[in-house]
Amino acid sequence: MRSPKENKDAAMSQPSVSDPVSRRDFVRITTATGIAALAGQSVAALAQQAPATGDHSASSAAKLPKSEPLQIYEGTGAGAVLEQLRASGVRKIFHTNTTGFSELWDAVYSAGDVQVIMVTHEGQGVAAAQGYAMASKSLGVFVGSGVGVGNSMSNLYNAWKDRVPLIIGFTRAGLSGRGGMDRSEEWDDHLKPTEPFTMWNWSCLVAETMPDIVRRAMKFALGPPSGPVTLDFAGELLAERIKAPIYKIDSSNPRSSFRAQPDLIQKAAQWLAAAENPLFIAGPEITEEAANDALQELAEKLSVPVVAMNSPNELYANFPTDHPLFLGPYRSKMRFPRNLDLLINFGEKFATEPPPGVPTVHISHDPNILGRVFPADLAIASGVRTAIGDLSDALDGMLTKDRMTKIRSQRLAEVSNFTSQMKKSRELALRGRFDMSPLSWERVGFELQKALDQDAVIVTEVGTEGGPRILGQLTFGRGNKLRIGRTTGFALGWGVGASLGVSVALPDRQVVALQGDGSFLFGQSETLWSIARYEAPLLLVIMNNRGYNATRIRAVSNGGILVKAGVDFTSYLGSPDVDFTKIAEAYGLRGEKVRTPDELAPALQRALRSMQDGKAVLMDIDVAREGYLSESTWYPRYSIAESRKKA
Amino acid sequence: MQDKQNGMRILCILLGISIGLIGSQRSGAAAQSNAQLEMEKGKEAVGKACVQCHNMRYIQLQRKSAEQWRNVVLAMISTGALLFPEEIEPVTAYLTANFGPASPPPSLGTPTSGGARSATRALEEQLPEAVGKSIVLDNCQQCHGLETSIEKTRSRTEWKEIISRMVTAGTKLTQAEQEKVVEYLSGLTPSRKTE
Repeated sequence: MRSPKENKDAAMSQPSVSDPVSRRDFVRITTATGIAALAGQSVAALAQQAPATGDHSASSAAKLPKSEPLQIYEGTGAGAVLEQLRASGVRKIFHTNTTGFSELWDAVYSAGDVQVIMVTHEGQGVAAAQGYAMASKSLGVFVGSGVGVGNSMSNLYNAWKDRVPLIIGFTRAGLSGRGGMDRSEEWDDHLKPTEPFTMWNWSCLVAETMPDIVRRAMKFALGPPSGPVTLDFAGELLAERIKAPIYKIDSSNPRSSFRAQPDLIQKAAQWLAAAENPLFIAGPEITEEAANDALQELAEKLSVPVVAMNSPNELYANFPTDHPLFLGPYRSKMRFPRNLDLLINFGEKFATEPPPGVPTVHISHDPNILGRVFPADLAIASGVRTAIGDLSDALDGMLTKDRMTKIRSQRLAEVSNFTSQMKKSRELALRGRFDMSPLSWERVGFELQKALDQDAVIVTEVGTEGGPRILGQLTFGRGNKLRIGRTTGFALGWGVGASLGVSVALPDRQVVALQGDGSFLFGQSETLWSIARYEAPLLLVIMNNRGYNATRIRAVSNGGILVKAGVDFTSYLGSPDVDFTKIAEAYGLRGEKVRTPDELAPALQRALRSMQDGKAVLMDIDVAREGYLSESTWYPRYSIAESRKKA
Repeated sequence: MQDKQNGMRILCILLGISIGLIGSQRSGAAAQSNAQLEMEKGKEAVGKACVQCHNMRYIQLQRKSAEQWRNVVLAMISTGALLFPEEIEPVTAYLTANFGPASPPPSLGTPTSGGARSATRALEEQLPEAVGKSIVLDNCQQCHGLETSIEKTRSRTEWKEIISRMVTAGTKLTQAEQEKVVEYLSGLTPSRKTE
């Protein structure tokens, strides 16, 4: 046992915080803690510029923050909820009418800087909040009635599938209605149906806790992974006078972030350096983390081709669609590269089986999706942005500049050859179908690309067959158009509401909603009311082929009795033949009907002028209905009027 | 002398005609060979590009002219089919040749009309009961009749290759199901087929 003096001498001989540390030791220590080697070296270089004399003056010591609430709020529970939202940067709340939030509107009115956007159906309101969150890269907030939970469910599901951060608040009859005492709705727990589609849900029972519940809700909503949170506020609690802390949340950097283990990054980098025919998958986490430029730089470093997993149904365009390295959709048997020998998935859920025998690296900020559907050979839990940076640094440490240049230039020639040929094929296809009447989907896409601003925003809900034909004519990526949608939940009745939210978030950009007649008929015309009320200068394009494609394609693939009889049971929508322009005009918006190809360009110019003047336009375009059985207009006829027995 | 010259002249003419005939036969054969190559190229491209997204049934059900098939091929390229520019015409030619207006009516799998249905049912009942039979009956009649599956006796290796091609063409079978189908079909002998 050592004496106190020996202990003191031993302590004095250990390096303390103020002792100078060698650069080699510093890099070794920082790398061991997981900081990338180059980052460690950078910090070491900075440290060496600092005085080594152990100066503990205020100018050199780090200033510790004060951990305390932003304020202690005194007022109604509703006011406290609003204050917590405002402290986190929320300035827009989407809402469908309910009797239960009057105290909240009192607080909004008093605050004067929060805009409430009314939407006349909860489902469209949730979609609008989602569109807003996706376009602004922040939190979306919707509040509505507890009895409206049912209406909100399909788009709650979509938001959950898309992992978009939302706070969705409901109000109900009151605390006295709990425990089987709800005589009106007989609905004990309004949030229970929402459970499967939320990151968290909570019924507030104590007024003082409500701002902290909201703060916690934001934490769960923002993640990662992000997703919807549902909250329930009883009327009595919203009216109760309380005193509660309000916490500041940095809305510019609200999400927690984590970094991969260095040895996993090293392994991934070794595989990438050794691979002859690698392939990257660019998933939605790339866009969520604003890592698009970083991925492009990494791909360009070794000319690795990039695909979109769920194309045409991906949520964003995560890689520039006109880049020579972008191959388009992922297929289980890629035509290029031949002999694929490594697949690296950045932030995408695996919807299609990876090719057998090909090693797979799966990187995601959501540990739940790693290995969930298909096992990965190397699963890396990390923010994709930091993983890309770490991977790039690791490659720099493994490959010489000359070697990298050789790989890059050789592979770029091969990839570019393939992508330029595919582009040529698509141009031949466009030209070959250019003057079709009813219009080809490609022609509509071509004219939109020509007429719209380069950085217009496309909010799409068009289907699997027509979607790629129109979207393939538009250029997405940095400096080009922004793509939002379609929702990976695929529950129809999302896009019009979402486009309203996008327009609220990005008022200076042209926003175009692409809809099929089928998806628009899924209860979306209600949003035209909000588009008119709030003067959203949208262009709503309805690709009207008087039918659903997906139902017909599936029926044909299955080849049942109806297919053999040559009829299509459910897909034809042309009876009645809806004039969608009249629906728009009923809401005070402008309608444009396009029947032939030469009518389209002038109609678009008129629409753009109307949008410039602040008035939305609905454009109803007759497009071709194609494919086996597409000519069928049969449906099982039934007339209620004719079934009457009473004269 | 005159006769000799005339004879030579006639011989030259005959030789010229023969050479011309041989040349035209060769160019005809070459053209036929080129056409066959183009057809093979088209068939191969269909297998590589078209069945990535849908099964062969979607093609086999349709009967279209060359112009109509060309429009379909172009539409598919716009939809995402990865076809090279030089494959457009061979694919169109292949589809027209095999699924054109003059092609036999499409086989719609298990027929619904009385006589043909009962014949197929009789065939199904004749096949021996063994592991894999139900998978064959459920999957191998989507695009062609049952007789196509069992008309020839094949080795296990041959069946493995055929089933692999069918999966590439769009038949949805897991690895385990493929093995059972191969096992079942390679176990069929002429005598067992008529049990």
